[in-house]
Amino acid sequence: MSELLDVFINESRENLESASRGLLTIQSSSSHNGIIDGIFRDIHTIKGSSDLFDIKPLTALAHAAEDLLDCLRASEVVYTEEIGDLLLEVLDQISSWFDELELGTENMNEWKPVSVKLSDSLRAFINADNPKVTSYEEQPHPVSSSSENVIGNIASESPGAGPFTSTIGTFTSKFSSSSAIILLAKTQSENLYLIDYQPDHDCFFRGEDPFNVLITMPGLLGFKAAFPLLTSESDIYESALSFVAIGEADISEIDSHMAYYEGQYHVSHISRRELALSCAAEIRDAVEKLANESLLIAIEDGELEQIQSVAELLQTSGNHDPMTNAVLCYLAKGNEYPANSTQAHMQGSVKLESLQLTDNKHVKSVSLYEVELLQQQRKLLDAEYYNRELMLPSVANLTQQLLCRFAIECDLTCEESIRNAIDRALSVASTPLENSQPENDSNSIDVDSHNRHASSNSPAEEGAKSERHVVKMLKVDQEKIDYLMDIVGELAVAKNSLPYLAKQAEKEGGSKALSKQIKSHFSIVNRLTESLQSAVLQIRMVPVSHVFERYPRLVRDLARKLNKKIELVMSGEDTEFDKNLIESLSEPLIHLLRNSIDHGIELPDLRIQQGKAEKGRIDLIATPLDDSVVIEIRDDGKGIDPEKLKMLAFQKGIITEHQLETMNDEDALQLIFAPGFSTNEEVSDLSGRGVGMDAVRTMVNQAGGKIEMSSELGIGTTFKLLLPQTMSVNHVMMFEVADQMFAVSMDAVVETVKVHRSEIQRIRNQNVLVIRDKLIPLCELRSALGFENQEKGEECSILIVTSPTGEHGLVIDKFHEGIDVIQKPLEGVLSGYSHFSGTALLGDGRVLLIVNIQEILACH
Amino acid sequence: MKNIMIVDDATTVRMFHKGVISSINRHIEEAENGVEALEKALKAPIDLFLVDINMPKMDGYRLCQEIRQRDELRTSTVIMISTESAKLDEERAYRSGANFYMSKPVDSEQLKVLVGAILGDAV
Repeated sequence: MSELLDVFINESRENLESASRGLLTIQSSSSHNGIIDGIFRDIHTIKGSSDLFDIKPLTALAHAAEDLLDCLRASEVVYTEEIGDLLLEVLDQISSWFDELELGTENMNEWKPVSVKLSDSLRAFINADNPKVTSYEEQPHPVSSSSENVIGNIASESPGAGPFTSTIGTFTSKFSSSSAIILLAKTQSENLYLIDYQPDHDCFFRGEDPFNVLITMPGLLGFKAAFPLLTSESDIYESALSFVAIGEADISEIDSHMAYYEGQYHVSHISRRELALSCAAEIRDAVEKLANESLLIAIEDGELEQIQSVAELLQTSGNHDPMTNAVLCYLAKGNEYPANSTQAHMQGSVKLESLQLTDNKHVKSVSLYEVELLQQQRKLLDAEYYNRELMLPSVANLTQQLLCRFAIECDLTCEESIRNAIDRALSVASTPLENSQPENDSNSIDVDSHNRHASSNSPAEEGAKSERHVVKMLKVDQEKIDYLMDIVGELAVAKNSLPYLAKQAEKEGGSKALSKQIKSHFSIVNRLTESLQSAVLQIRMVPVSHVFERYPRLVRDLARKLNKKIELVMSGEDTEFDKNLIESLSEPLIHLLRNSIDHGIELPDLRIQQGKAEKGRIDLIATPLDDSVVIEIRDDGKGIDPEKLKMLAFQKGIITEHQLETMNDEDALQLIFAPGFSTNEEVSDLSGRGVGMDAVRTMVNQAGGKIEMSSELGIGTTFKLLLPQTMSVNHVMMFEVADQMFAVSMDAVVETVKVHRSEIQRIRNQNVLVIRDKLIPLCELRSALGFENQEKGEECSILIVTSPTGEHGLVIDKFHEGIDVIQKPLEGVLSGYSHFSGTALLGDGRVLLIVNIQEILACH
Repeated sequence: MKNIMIVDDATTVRMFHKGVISSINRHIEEAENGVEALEKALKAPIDLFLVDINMPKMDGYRLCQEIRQRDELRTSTVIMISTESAKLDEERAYRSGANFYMSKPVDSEQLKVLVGAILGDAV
């Protein structure tokens, strides 16, 4: 499976979970708009990501769900329980597809009918005449359609409009190109302006003189006036004039000149180079008409000085028409000859043909995509899409980049000139920018206030918080942590050899100083190892919400199935726990919840009769307590009747008649944990799955925990699980059998006794020992572990341990101390061997086998 | 070194885009939503943003507007990428200040070419 698919599945599972959480919250809350939004986004993300892979049925289904959610979001469809159920079903379906994907399935076509069926039912909820509803397959492929558009647009593009010709465009539309050349010949200044002046209709009444305003314009070089055609209906006292003028002056000068006529004019800077480029064709024509070889050579070589001198010479030497004269005048002033290809880039670089026409060796094909991109930039400039001043820098920047790229590939020489042109465009762009600055600042919203906004929003709050959390989290493969844990465990044990070494140094080397040094070093290593160990254990800690978050869904589903109304209230979800432990707990907890739902909480009618709230309540509480965690499952159901329990236990032969009469209620309740016990007469669909409460207790015990139960008839039942926070460090008692080290969990050890062999009695073919009037069956570990049964001394070491079947004595050879070990499960060929629950490494490198008492006793 | 930021709430999509465009001379930042993106971008300049539209906390439109409001980010290129292929969204993207709009599923070849052209470092 590809890594990307892996990430997709993991991420989508999170999305699925959060979506189903959202769906469950909707049921219990009145306003669900924010929640639907969240669910929509989850599904949307899944759909969007699934697009990256070829999983059509999944994408189609997610799409349908997204559509429905969109309608819900827009309140076009009203949320109902049925929709909720359907959406949950969809989530389940997607989740099970993920399972298949993870297994590497190839049969996605088989998913199709399911996908279609579910999609259809989803769409059935959406209004039939809603135009938004389109089946996924029917949608045109967006990429292909847009690239077709590009070609269409390019073909229809008029050559005159280049990306930076908005001002030039106005100019060329008002003036002829010959006037542009004349203008170029007239002035050297870069400060050219183009003004569009439209006097108000009633300007004459205010005593304004538009003509005077125009001809007194600073640095005026030329203008064009448009006189309206007067008809009989026209009001002759109204002005209908409009002027376009061009001149050389700063825009600020024009602004001050026109100060009284605000709103009647529009002035813009006009680039000399652009102007030259706009009439490049005419210049070229004029030069070609001259057919002067030295000028042509000079132009070809791009020698500015040469062009200048030849042009000067030509200007004085002959009688030319005004146009040619203007061109020569322009060139004589040391201006660059506007190359045709440059023009192509500036104006029609989006024209594909022009790019390919300049065909030479350098041309790689310019990708359609790039052309599309460039074209879009031009559109952005032309259209009043966004605040133009703010948009310009990025557009200019991008265009420059693109043009450079095209230039490099088409014509190396014009790169520089384009760069200049765009630099100027940028400087134009930045002028109005400065003016608009203060306004922008007040518009902008800083990130912090955004955050504040988000956190004031209560439904969004939690999501925001967890997201923040996720950002700082590092996801690590659990195997790596387990490996780290193993190493740290070995280190913890290996360091134990240091005191041994110190002893050795003192005894054999006779060096007290060395021994002391080793000891002091040991204390440092010891401390470091301990903190390392606790740090690693911390890494493995995860909040119980990890397991808890599955339960609301479970409770809801079961409750609906049984027609009960149940509210699950969870608290202390952030209590932390060892990950392995949490996972091993998931199953017993589910079992306990099932019991509460199935046997505990009554049907709504019955509850009302008894004066209880119609809705049953199950509390799931996790509380940290020193080094352990208490998990409580409390329901307010009918409780457990101890008498009934006793009767049942008696019927099933679990207790004797004597016990039936004498047993107190407290003990009777504990009968529920007895093997093979089920209080409900008929095995129900939910809890009667063959695992009784004894199984739950076994699982909890295996995790190193304890389970307690209390119940009050008619009021409710509480299960209490007391669990260690981590399971990694075990305190074990070591002992020796046949010169080998073994250990048992310290929790199981009751006492150690040394007795004379004669005290051991034999009853019913079983060795027993009587201690304080108690009969304790014995088990010879030597034979149980398969060692030779050799006759030993008079004294017998006996380790008395508890097991579910009562206290037992293990006959061993020698006691050793209790130590902390990191227990590892048996691996490889030994893994099926249940006599031992695990192994640990000793300081001197020996392997310590940890005995599984229960199994040993059972075999015995 | 060119800086690119991929803003999308889906890790899968970020990873996919990253895979398509990563190159030795490009530094790629990631953000899960607009708020995070803006925070990061203000710390180090970004040449190119790839922005998803539908995101929690701050959506793509809003992020784009915010980018355009900042002096230090104004010259950055913004490509909006979204599943909403409706024309309306495309226009809204441009109205928010995007330089280009692409719809999912993104054609990786197109993305590669565009990013190369925009950053000017295409091979």
